[in-house]
Amino acid sequence: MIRFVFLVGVFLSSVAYAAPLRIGVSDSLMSLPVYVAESEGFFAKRGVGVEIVNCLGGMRCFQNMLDGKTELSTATELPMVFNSFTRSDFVLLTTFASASNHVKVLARSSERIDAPHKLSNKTLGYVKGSSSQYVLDLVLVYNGIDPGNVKLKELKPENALTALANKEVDAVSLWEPFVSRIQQELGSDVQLVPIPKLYTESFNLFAMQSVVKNRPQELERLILALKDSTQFIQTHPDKAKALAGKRLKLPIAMIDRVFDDYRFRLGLNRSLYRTMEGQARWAIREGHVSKALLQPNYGNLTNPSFLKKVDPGAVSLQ
Amino acid sequence: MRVETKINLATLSTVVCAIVLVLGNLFVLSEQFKGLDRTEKAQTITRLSSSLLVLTQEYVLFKSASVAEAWFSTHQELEGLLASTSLSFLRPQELNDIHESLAELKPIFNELNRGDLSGNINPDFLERRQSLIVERLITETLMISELGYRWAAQVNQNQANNLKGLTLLEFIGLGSFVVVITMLVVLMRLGVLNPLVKLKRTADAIRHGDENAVCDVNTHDELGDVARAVNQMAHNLAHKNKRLREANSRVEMASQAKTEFLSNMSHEIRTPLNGIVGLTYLLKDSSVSGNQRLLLDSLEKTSRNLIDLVSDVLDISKIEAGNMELESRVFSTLEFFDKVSGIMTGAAANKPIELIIDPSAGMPLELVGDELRFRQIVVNLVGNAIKFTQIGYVHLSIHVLSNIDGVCRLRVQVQDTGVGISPQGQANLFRQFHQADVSVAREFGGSGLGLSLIKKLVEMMNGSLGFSSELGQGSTFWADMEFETVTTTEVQVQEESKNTLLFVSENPMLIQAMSNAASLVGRNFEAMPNLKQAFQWVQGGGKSIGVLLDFPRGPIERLVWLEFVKSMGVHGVPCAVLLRGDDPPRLLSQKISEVFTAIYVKPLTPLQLQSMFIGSHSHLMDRTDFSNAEMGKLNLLIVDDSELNLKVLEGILSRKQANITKAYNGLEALSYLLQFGHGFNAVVMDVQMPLMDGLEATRELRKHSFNADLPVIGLTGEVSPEDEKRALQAGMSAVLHKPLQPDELMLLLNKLIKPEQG
Repeated sequence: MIRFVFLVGVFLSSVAYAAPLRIGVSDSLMSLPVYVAESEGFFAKRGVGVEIVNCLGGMRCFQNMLDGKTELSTATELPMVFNSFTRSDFVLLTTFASASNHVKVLARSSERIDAPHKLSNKTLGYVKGSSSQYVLDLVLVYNGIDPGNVKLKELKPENALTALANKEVDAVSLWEPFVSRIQQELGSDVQLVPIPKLYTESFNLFAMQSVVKNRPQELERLILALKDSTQFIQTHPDKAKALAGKRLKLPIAMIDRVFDDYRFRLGLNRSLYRTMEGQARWAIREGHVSKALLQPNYGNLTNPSFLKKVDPGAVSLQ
Repeated sequence: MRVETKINLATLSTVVCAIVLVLGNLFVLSEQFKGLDRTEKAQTITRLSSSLLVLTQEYVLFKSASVAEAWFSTHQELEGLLASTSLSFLRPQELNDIHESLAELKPIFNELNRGDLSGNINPDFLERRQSLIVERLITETLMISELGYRWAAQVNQNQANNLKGLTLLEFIGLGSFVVVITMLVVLMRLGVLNPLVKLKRTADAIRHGDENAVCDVNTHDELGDVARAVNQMAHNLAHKNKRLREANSRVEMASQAKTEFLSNMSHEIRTPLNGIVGLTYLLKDSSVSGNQRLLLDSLEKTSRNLIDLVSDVLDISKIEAGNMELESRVFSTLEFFDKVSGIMTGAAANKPIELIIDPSAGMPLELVGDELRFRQIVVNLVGNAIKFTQIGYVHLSIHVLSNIDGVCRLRVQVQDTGVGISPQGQANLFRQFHQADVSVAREFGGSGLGLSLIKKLVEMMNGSLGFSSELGQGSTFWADMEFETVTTTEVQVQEESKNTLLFVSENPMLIQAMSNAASLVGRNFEAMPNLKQAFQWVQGGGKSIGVLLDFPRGPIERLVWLEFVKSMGVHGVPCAVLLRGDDPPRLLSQKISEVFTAIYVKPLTPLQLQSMFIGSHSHLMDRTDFSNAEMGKLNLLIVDDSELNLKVLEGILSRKQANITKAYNGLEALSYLLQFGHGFNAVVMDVQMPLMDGLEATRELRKHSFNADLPVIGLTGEVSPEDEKRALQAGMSAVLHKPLQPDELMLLLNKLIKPEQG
C-alpha cells in the first residue's frame, strides 16, 4: 500500500513537473524576449515547457499570478511594489527589458502642450496605480506643477484613445504600444510632450515562491532561454522587430520608430531597488497603500540565484 | 618523392610553423594589451560614476559649492572620457544610453538649486520636488555606475573568453607544430633513415662476403638510386669474384704443379750435384797438379754454391707446397754457438772484421726444435752480414724475449757495420730472387733466395723477421722464434772455473759479450781495458785462473807483452790470446806467439770460454817436465782443423802409448812449439788449415834452433810431387797422404823419433 502511494506520488509529481510553466505576458514591446524565446524555440531548446498567457498590462498579469492562474508573470516593478506591502509569496527573478521612454505623455495638438510645464491647468488622463500615474506625477512635480493644480482623470488604457478623441482629456500618460496606436489613429491631432528622463522602467520576470521551491531547474532553463532571446534580439534586430509587429499587431515602421528606446538584457541591479523604494514612498504618499504599512525590503523579494548561474556579470545588487 | 623535395618540404613546414607560432604569439600579446586597456577604461568609468554618486549625495546633504564644483568636474571628465576615447568594447546602444543619461543628469542636478518656481510656494511640494530630484539623480547615477560595472564585468568576461580563445589558439599552434615536427620525424625515419639503415646493412653484408646481398629499397628517390647502384655493384662484384676464384683456382693448380716440379727437379738436381762434389773432392785427393787443384777447388766451390742454391729452392718449394716439417729435438744451445762460430770463422777469413757472439745470460742451455733450420737462419743472417761487411764488426746476439709455460721466444739479432741497404732495396728485400741492388749480386754474389727462405722458416717457427738499415751505416737484422724448453740442466761448474778468468780488451762490446757468455757458462769473469790494469789487479791479490788477451788493432809493444806474460807466469797465471781472422801474421811478426798457452780465434764461443784454462795450468807444467812426468812415453802434438781427423789420429797414436796434445791450427801449434823445452817428441800436422796452415807453422818453428830436429810429419790430401816438395821445403820432416795409413804413420814416427827422445 505504501509502495502504491509512493508510486502515485511520484507519478503525480512527474505529471506536475511535466506541465508547462504558465507565464502571464503583458501585451507590450517589453515582452519581446518572451515572444522571441517562444518563436525561436529557445524554451524547447533549453528543455522547459512554457505556456504564454496574454494579459493587458503588467498589473493584470501580476494579479493573475497571485491568483494562481499562472506560475510566473512578466511586469514592470510597480505591481511588485504595490503588492509587496501585503504579500511576500512571490519573487523577482530577473529584469529582461528596460526603457526610459516606455511611458509617454501624449497631448492633443490643439492644446499646444510642447513643454512639460504647459501641462499646468490641463486635464490629464492616467491609468490608476500604474506607471502611467507614477510617471505623470514625476513629470508634474519635476516641472514645478503641483498635481493639485491639474485635473486628473482616471482612464483604462484601452479607453485613452476615445478620451483624447472626445476631448475628455487634454493629455494622457500612457505606455506603449497604446501611445503608438493612438498616434496611429489620431495622427496629427495628438503630439508627444517632451518629458525629461525621470524614470527608467524595468520589465521583469516574477515567480511564485512555491514555483521557485518546486521547479528551480525549469526556472533556470527559462532564464537561460530568455538570455538566448536577448542575444538573438541584439544580433537579429530585424527579425525581432518583425516578430514584435506581428504579436502586437503594429506596423513594422512604428515598431522601428520606438525600438531603440528599449534595452533587452538580463540584469538585477541596485538601481532597481532604489526605483522601487521611490515608488513605494510615492504609493504611500499618494494613498495607494495604507500609510500604516512599512516599506518592505526588496532584497527579500528578489531571488538572484538563477540569474547568477546563467549570467553572473548581470547581477550587481550590492 | 625525392629526398631533396622531402627536405625542402620539411624545411618549409618548419619555417611556416615557426612563423605562424611567432605571429600567433604576437597576436596573443597584442590582445592581452588591448584587454588591459579596456579594463582600465571600464574601471575609470566605474570609478567616475561612483564618485558622481557619492558627490550627489554629499551635495544633497551639505549643498557645498566645492562639492558642486567637484560634481561638475567629475561629470565633465566622465563625458570627456566617453566622448574622446575609443570604446569599441561597448555596444553603440549602450554608449548612447550612457551619453543620454549623462546629458539628462546635468539639468536634473541644476534643478536642485532652482528657486524660481512660479505660482507654487508650497513647502511640502518643494520638499517633495527636491526629494524627487535627489532620487532621480541618485538613481540615474547609480544606473551609470551599474553600466560602468557591467562594462567592466563584460570586459573581464571578454578578456577571459579571449584568454580561452588565445589559449586554444596557442594550443592549436603548438599542437600543429608538434604534429608537423612529428610528421617530419616520421617522414625522415621512413623516407631517409630506414633506407639508409638498409643500405648500411647491405654494405656490411657485402663487406663480410655475402655476394647475394640485395638492398631492398625501391623508392624513386636518391636513396633508391643509390640502392640500385649498390645492388648493381654487388652483382658485378659477385661476378668478378667468381671469375677471380676460378682464375685463382687455376693459378693455384699451376703453382702447385710448378712447386711440385721445382721440388722434384731440385731433388733430382741435387743428387747428381752431390755426386759432382763428392767426385771433385775425391779427385782433389788424387794426384793432380797445382793448376788442376785450383780448377778443382773452383769446381767444388761452384758446385757447392749450386747445391746451396738448389737446397734453398727445394726448401722454398717445400714450404710453399706445405711439405716442410720442422723437427722437434732437444739440442744444446752451447754447442749450437760452437757450430755457428766455425762457419763464421770460415766466412770471415782474412777479413778485418770483429766477430762477436753475445749470448743472453739467461738463455736456456737446451731447447727443443729444429736445430738445423735454426742454424740455417742464424748462419744465413751472419753470412749475409759478413759478406756485406768489409771492416768493423759483426755482432751476433741471442737473447730471450719471453719464457713462459714451456715456450721460449728468442730473438736472434745480427748487427753489422757493412754497406747497409738503400730504402728501395729494403722494399724488395724479402722477395725471392731479389737483392738490394743489381750491383750487390755482381759484387757479393748470391741468389737472393736466402732472406725470403729464412723469413718463411722464421714464420714457421711462429716468429717474424725484421731489420733496420741505413745505406753506408750497416744493418741490423733480427728474427724472433719460438722453441719449447725442457727442464733446465745446470751448467756443470768445475771447481777450477770458479777462479776468475781475466780478460784484457779495449773493446767494450766484446767485453760485454764475453761477460754474458761467462755468466751463461758459470765462469767468474773480470775484464780490464789494458795490461797495466790487469797486472795491477793480479798484483792487488786478484785470483785468476788465466788471462785472455784480446789482440789489439793497433801496434803493440812487444816487450811490454812479453813482460806481462812473464810476470803472470811468475804468479802461475797462464795467458792466452784472442785473434781476429787477419791477425796471425801480425802476431807472428811480433814473435810473441810462443809465450801464450793457447791461441783463440774470434768469435769466441761460450763453450770455449767454459773450458778455457781448465787443465791448461797443469798442461803447462807437464810441458816443462815432460821427460820427468811421462818417462817412457812419447809426447806428441797433433794439429788438424778437423775434430774428426784429430780423433782418428788420437786413436792411431794411442797404440803407441803416447801423450797426445791437440791443436786446431798452425798458430795454436806454434804457441806450444815456440816455447823452449816444450817436450814434444814429434808433431803430426795437417798441411791445409785455417788461420795458419801447416807449411807456414813449420817454417816458423824451424826458425828456432831447439826445433831444428823436431820431427814434423805433414798430412795432405794432395799427392803431387810438387806439393810434397813444397812441404819438405817448408821444413817438414816427411809427408803422408790421406787417407792416412796407421802403419805407415807408426813406421814413420818410429823412424823419425830419436831414441833419446822416446
